Amino acid sequence: MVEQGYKLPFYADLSTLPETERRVIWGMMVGEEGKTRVPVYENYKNAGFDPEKHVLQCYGSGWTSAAFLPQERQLFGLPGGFFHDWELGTNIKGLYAAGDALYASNCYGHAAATGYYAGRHASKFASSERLVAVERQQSGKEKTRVYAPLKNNPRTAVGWKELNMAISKTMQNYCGDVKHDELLKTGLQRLKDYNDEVLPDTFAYNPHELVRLLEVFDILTVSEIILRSCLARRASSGPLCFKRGDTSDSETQPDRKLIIIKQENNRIVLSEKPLDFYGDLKENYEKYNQYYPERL
Amino acid sequence: MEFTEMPASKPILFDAEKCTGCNSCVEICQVDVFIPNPDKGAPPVVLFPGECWYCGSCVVVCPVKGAITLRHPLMNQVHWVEKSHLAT
Ligand SMILES: Cc1cc2nc3c(=O)[nH]c(=O)nc-3n(C[C@H](O)[C@H](O)[C@H](O)COP(=O)(O)OP(=O)(O)OC[C@H]3O[C@@H](n4cnc5c(N)ncnc54)[C@H](O)[C@@H]3O)c2cc1C
Ligand code: SF4
Ligand code: SF4
Repeated sequence: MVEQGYKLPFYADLSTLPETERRVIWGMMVGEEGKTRVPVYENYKNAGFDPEKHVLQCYGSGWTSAAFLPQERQLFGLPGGFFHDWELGTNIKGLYAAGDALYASNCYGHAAATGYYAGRHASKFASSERLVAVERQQSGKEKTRVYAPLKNNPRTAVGWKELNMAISKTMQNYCGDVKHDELLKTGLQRLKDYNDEVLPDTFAYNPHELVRLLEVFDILTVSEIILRSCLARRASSGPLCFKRGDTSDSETQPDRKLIIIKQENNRIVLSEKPLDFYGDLKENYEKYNQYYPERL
Repeated sequence: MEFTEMPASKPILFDAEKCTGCNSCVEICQVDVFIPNPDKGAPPVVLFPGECWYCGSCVVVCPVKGAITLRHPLMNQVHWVEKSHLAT
């Protein structure tokens, strides 16, 4: 718009709206939506903002709140998620997935609907299963992993923020907008170095920092999954916002598939499914999910 | 002199006169910015100001008006003008 001659800054102008619309947008939407009620509605009002006569400055030259880097766009709602069957069950028996954990997701409606749907199947599964005793050996191993950072030396060890930023930078550098095998493989090596050399020497001063650190360990795993999946996808894909710089367009056709990555006996296993794997939507929904309670 | 560091932002301000130390704000905060004050009845301690999401839940849940205030960092404070002052 700036190129077309509009002059910055832009302003959000509610003043010319009909009174009811202004009250819906400012009073109801901004004033009642959880995370804008205090930070925006109340704080602006207390500072003197009056939507009937003031206009709010917008920063940037467009809708910058959603200005993702191309490589971030690849991760927002679109491409990855748990592979699942028609009951939203995963390859681990009894583990169901819903919402943003599924691919092609990114809205409250989808999260609520799939949560309801997966929950129904999960409760059906649970009601037919017997509870087994906790495996002491397994929980002991997990405790050792979780508490390990508390034993390290804070003077020499690395904290959660430093490791978090290092992983982010690795992903920006080696898994950016345009993907190349060589870059992706270098990225994997960086993550392996962090995993082998840095992760065993991290430290947390308190439970708060320990939780953050454990989240960063998960981020490290997820980053590896992303890099390995990118390596497995050989051609660019418009719908997935996935761009390759080292394969030709003629390779695009064979890449119209789902790529599945999983860990089995400590080994990474890759497999593929055709895009139409789930078959006819209407027919299968009826088959697997008939649920029409009378009260609805 | 105190050997410490000024934080990059101060998202939460307490009014110690009004705060009853009920810790509802501590409980609600999704990222655990606070810890309860070791002095019972005193305002919670803001231990991790850099992790605040500026969601305002702590202010919404506080039962005493004005005991807790959410303050955006300077760079995120939005500006406005009176429409009648804008050149058309
Ligand atoms: C800025 C923003 C604005 C949005 N605006 C809209 C909008 O206007 N309309 C709309 O429809 N959608 C919007 N969305 C999308 C919508 O918010 C999400 O799709 C939806 O909330 C996903 O719900 P969910 O339950 O699947 O996941 P989440 O709400 O993300 O829940 C996942 C939960 O799992 C927890 N968790 C993660 N890891 C672990 C672990 N290892 N152990 C235990 N717990 C864990 C997390 O803490 C979190 O509570 C927006 C999203 C964002 C980020
Ligand atoms: S604004 Fe939200 S994130 Fe920040 S301290 Fe309050 S509850 Fe926590
Ligand atoms: S909720 Fe309000 S009164 Fe209670 S501790 Fe927090 S600021 Fe104080």
